[in-house]
Amino acid sequence: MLDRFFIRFSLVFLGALACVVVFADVIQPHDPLAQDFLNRSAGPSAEYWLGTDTLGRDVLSRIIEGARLSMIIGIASPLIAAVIGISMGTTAAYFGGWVERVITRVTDMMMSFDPLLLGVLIVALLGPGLQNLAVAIAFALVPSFIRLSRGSTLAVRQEAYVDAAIAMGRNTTGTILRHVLPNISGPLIVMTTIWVGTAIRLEATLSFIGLGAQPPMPSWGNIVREGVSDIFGSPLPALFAGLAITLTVLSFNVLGDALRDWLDPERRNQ
Amino acid sequence: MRRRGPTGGVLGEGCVVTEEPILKLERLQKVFGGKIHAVDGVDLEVRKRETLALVGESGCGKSTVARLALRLTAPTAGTIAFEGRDITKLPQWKLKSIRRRLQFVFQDPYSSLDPRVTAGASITEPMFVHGLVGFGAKRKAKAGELMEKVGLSARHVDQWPRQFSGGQRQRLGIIRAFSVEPHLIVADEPVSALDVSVRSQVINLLQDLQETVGTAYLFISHDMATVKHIADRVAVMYLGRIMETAPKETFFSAPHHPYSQALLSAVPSSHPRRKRQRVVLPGDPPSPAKTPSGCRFHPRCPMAVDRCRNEVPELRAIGKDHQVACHFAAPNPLNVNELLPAGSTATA
Amino acid sequence: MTAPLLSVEGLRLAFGTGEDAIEALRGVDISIGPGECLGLVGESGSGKSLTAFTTMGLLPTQSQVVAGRVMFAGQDLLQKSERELEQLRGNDLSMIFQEPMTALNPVMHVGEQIAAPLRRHLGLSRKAARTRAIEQLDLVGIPDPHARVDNFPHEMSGGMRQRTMIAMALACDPKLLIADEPTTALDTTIQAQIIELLNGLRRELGLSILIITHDLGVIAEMADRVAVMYGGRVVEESPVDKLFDEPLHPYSKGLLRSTPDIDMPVARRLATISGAVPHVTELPSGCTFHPRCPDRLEICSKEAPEEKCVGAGRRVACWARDVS
Repeated sequence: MLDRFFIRFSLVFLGALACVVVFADVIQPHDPLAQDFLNRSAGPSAEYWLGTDTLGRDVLSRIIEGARLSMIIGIASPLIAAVIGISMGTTAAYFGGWVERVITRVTDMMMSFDPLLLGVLIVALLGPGLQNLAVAIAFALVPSFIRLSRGSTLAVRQEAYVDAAIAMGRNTTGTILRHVLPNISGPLIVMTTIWVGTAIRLEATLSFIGLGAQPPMPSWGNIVREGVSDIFGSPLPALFAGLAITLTVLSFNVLGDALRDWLDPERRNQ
Repeated sequence: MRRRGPTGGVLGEGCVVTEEPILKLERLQKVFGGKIHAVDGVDLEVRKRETLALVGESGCGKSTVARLALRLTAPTAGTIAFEGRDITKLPQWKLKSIRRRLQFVFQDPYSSLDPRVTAGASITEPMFVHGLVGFGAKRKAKAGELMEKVGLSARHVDQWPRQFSGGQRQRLGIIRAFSVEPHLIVADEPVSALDVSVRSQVINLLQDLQETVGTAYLFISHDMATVKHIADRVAVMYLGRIMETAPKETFFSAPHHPYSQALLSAVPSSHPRRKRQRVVLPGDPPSPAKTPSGCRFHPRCPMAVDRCRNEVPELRAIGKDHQVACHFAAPNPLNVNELLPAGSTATA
Repeated sequence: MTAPLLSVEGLRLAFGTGEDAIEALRGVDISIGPGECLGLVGESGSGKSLTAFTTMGLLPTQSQVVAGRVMFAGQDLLQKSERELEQLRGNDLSMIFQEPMTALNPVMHVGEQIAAPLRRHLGLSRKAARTRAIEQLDLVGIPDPHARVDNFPHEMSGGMRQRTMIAMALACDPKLLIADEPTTALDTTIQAQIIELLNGLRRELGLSILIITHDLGVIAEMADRVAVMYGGRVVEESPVDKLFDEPLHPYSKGLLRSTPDIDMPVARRLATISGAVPHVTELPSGCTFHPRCPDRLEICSKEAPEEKCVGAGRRVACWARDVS
């Protein structure tokens, strides 16, 4: 019962979030960058529903604009990571030999770094900015995609239908696309979903320590950072942005778990 | 000299063999992990329209021969020639043109069909890969046509493999192989996973389609009764080597190699009053990781002498189309059944 | 005929309860006399293994006996407590399986595994049990039993493991050995060894054997009498050579005719039984064989035929047989 509730809540929340992101320009009550010097650090009011920050900018509009950035990064980075990771993982498992050894060793090395640390390193190398942020997060997620897809491919590679595909004359790409990928897709879809949550969190964290989106552009991490500097004067901006992050990450995790159950044929039969 | 031993002869359907064999394996070897000699110098040929049964017990390397013949794995040494062309070292992309003429049926009907591909798409896949069928509705119509050929309803083209029984899946696997009218089908134990009452249907289907299309089979099996029913020629394998090849009639009436004799006498009788006199072989086949010296059958052979322990017997012709790898092989051999007292059991 | 050692009477077994219950055994009757070997032959889903397991008191999860008795040496095994059954199992009643690896403990020496029931049931000392274990290994034809007794199962070949399992099963001199597909996983030459071994032991020890198999060859080699099972019922019961001479039930006929025979000249085509073996969840009404039966009558789809005596030791459950 509780599971059901959580899943429904997550779906509704993510649906709403998607609408907000798509229609951000229409929904925003104010320009997220416009400063109202007369209403700085104001509490909630009819004009500013969630109040304003220290520079007098509308918190609600900033959170909506920040959602856009968080979601773009949150979805783009795992997708980039998935494409790179899955191609490397399946290649490694499918061909074996030195290709596999190199890829696994590199993966092991990357796995020994904390994703956050890896993100910090890459942003430090490439410099802050939106694209670099996406690359950094994607890079941090690639190793887990390599591992999972390599493991699943190794299992599927043993199946007679893969031999069948080769023996009937399918080329390697065809065999992988038609027979390997569909059969390893379940766990990968689940992982991508859960990683969306993680990517949003990483983005927030990197922005929080100043390595992500650059002010005045709002992102959830930015908003929390700016809010924290005046947490005792006006706690609301940090609080609402933090809540947005938490709920989004939670929703993606719940959705990932639900997908896992749904895609697992053994559990589905019960 | 391309052939060892006499090959001119009359086969099953009155087809005179003077032409190139479809598949010719020479001195074929496959070593796994540097020490497991799964296949260790196999010479074999499959001729047009014939069924060559490759028999042997588990671990003898017969399935590895199937995988080598299909080039699913590369041999360590030796050559594989398909219709006169050496395909031993061809890269996969160059093999594609060969593969239309070289198809397969695997043992396990449950794992040889991709669970995420519908029945119709699965059975038209070889045609699709080789550009012999269109897209969409055309492909589906073809799939339905194929399914009806093997006694399945065309209405089921969109069903998933798991919705079919084992026997039905094996029919799908068989029509998938036949859809491109191949010249050779490598069939690895195609009926051993099936229920007894379904098995005979599938054997008949295999024979009917063979007759219509004119395909040859490399039929791998451990079941001597099925082999007797379906084969034209028989090759016996033991620990990675061919021990004997012979036309079916010769093989079942007068097997020469002591192992062939033991293998045949081990088959359970088909009537309680016709219990056969049995050569029960002592012990188990040794592992392919440590093959015995000399003739690899010698530790279990009732006829073994010193020469067998030291010298590897070559496969040599002893009669029309009949080759045996045994030092004792002669046109009129001793039968080990006559050497042993009646009802003798294992003296391990 | 003397009183049977084991008789299964009207055994019905179902999975689940109420409306959704699936009846997997639909009234099974078999009996085995002392020193007799009964072959139970059938295909997947016929209920042959289920009958054996129920006899041993090993019911699968979510299944229960709906009706029937399993009489062994005058006692109903189905009424016995788990404790009493444990006393019987391995002692008077033993079982061997298709895959010995699942029945043997991988981290215990085979000697200890053979010794365990000896010490439990017969109260033998550690040393005496070990000596007995070596004797048992010798009895089943394992070479060098003094060394083999300290082997782990994985150090043995498939054939040796099967021999070890037989040694284990026979350690306490059981009266009845239930052998569930004991040679199916083995190669032809090893299968021949095991068949010879079981036949020899039976003569030597006066053992009763219930052999369960799908292979008519194994039946021909071992059994005195045969019970043919299909769809959770025994459809025909007969002395073994009578069945092979003249099968009476259409299913037995089909089975015998459709099996390629190595001793006969090759026919162009094999006889077949049409259709497929039904899954246990979708057994047809009436006689479960009727959709595949060449001799079916009107009544076959409606009502299941009773097993009727048709001559010396022969029973068959078929409507078509009744009419003719």
